[in-house]
Amino acid sequence: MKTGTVLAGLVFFCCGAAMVWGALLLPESRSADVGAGRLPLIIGLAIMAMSALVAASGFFALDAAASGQPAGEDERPQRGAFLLMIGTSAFVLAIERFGYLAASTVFILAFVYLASERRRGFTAVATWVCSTAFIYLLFQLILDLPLP
Amino acid sequence: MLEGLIAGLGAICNIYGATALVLGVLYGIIFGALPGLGATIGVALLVPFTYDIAPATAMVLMISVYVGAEYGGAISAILLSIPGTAAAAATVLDGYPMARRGQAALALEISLRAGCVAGLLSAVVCFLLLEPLAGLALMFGPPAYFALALLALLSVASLSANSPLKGWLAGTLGLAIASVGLDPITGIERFTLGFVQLEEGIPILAVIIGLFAISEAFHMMHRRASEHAAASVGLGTTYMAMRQWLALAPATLRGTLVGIFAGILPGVGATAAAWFSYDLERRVSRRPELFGKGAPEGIAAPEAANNSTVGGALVPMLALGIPGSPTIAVLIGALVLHGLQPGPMMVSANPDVAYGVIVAVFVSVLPMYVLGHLMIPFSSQIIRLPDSALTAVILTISIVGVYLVRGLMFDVWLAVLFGVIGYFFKIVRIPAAPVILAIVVYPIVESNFRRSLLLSREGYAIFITDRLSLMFLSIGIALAGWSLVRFLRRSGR
Repeated sequence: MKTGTVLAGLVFFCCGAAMVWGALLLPESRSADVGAGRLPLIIGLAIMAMSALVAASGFFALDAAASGQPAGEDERPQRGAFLLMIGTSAFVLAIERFGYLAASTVFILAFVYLASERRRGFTAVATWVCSTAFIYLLFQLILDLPLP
Repeated sequence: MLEGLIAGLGAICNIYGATALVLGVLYGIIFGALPGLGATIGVALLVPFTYDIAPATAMVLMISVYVGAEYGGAISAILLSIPGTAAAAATVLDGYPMARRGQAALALEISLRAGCVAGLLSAVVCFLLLEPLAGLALMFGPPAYFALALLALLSVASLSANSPLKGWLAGTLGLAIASVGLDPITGIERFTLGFVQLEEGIPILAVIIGLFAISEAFHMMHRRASEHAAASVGLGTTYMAMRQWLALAPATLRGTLVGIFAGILPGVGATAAAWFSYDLERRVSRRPELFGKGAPEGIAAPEAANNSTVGGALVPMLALGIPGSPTIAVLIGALVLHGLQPGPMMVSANPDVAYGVIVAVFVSVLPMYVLGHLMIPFSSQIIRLPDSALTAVILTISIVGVYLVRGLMFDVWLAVLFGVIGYFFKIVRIPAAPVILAIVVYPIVESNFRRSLLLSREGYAIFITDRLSLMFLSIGIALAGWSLVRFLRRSGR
C-alpha cells in the first residue's frame, strides 16, 4: 500500500465532497442559464470519483509498479523541507512586520549559511547582496514598483 | 499574413524587444542548465517582472526564455549526466559518453546547432499554420470549443504522469481552483469563504509560482547532494569537419519534424518527442550499436525534437487559445494578466503579440547560438551553483513577484500554500502541470458549456449531436481509455 497516495486520495475526496455541498448551496438560476453551480457540481463529483480511484490505486500500489519503484513506497517528506516551509512562513510574516529588506537579509543569510552542507559564509553574503541588489534595482528603480 | 509578420517584427525591432530577446535567451539557458528548474519555472518566475511592460515585449522575453531553456537542459545532461529539463533526458545517453571521452564541447555544439535549426524550422511551420488554423477555429461553435478544451486538458492529464488517474485528479482540481470567485454571468460568489480578495478568483500567478517555483524550492532540500556533483569531464574543442556536420542534417530534420508534430498535439510535449526521435534515429541508423556510446546523431535528433516543440506548441496556443504544455499554460496565464485572451481573435486583434511570439522564436536562434557558443567554456561553472543559494533566490523572487501584481500579502500566503500543496504533489507524484492547464482552459470550458446549454433544446445531448464536439469528445475518451489500459498493463494487474 502507498500510504501517501491513499491519504492524498482521501483528502481530495473530502475536498470534492465539500465542493459538491458548496455547489448545491448556490442559488438556482432564474433564467435559461444553467446557473453558477452546475459546472462546479460536476467538477466536485469528478474530483470525488478521481480521488477515490487514486486512493484505490494507492491501496493496491498500482502506480508504484508502473514507475518501477518498490511497491508501498511514496517519496518520503524530508525534515529539511518542513523546516524550509516553516522558515518561509516566518519570512513572509517578517516581511509583513518589518518590510522586505530587513526580512530578506535575515532569511537569506541564515538559510544559505545553514542549508549548505559546508558552512558557506561567503556564499550566503554573495547570495544576499546579489539577490537584494537585483530585486531592488529591477522593481524599485527600473519598474518603479513598491517592494513589500 | 504579411501585415502580421510586419507587426511581429515591430515587437522585436526596437531596443526593448531586442534587449528582452537577448536577456531572455541568456536567462533561459542558465535556468535550463540548472537541474530541476527548466523553462516552466523560469517563465513563471519572470511573469511578475513583465507586469509593467508592453505585452508584446513581455511575450518576446518569455518566449526567448522558453527557447533558451530548451537548449540549456542539454548542458547538465551532457556534463553531469543529470538532465536540466526532463526533455533533455534522452540527450544524456550519448551526450555524457561523449563528454567522458573529452568531447563535451563538441556535444554541446551539436546540441546547440540542432536546437538552432529546429527553432528556425518550427517558427516557419508555426507561421504558416497559424492563420489557417485560426480561421478554422472561428467556425467552431460553443459545443465544439467546450469539447476541444476538454480534449486538451484530458490529453495533457492522461500523458503527464505515470498514473493517468493522478493526472485526471490534478486536472479536476485545477478546474475547481479556477471556479472560485464571482460567477461571470450571475455575479454570485462561489467558494470564496468570505475572503474579499478571492472575489476576482484565485490569482493564477500565485498558483503557478506556488506549484512550480516554491514547491521546487522545498523539494530542493531533497537533493542537496547535487551541490557537490562536480563535472569530471573534459570539454575539448567544438571542431568537427563540415562533412560530419552535414551527416547530422537528416537526424536533425527528422527530430525537428517529430518535435513540431509533438508540440502541436496537446500533452505529448518535448520529453516524449525527444525519446521518440532518439528511438527513431537508432532504428534508421546504419550503425545502431554506436547509440548509447556517444553517437552524435543521438544528441542531434532529441535536441532538435525538444527545441522544435516550442514552435509547434505555439500553434494551438495562438490559434485556439489551448495550451499544449505547462510552459505554454504559464505563457497564456501571463497573457491573461496583460488583459489578452489567446485564441483565433488574437491573430487579428493583437497581431504584434501573436506574430511577435513567432518572430521571437525565429530570431532568438541568433542570440541562442552566439550566447550558447560563448558559454560553452563556462558551462561547468553554471551548473555548480549551490542549491542553497538557488533555493533562497527562488523563494525571495517568488514572494516579491507574487506580491507586486496586486500588492497584497494575501496573494503571497496563497502562493506559499500552493507551494506546500505542490511539494506534497511531488511526494505522491501528482503532476502539477494539469492544474495550471485546467485553470487556463476553465473560462473556455465554463463559458462554452453554459452557452451550449443555452442554445440547446435537447440539454446535454448537444455535445453529441454537434459533429465536431462528438469528434473531439470521442478522441478524448479514446485517449483516456488507451492511457488507462496502458497504465493497468504496466502495473501488471
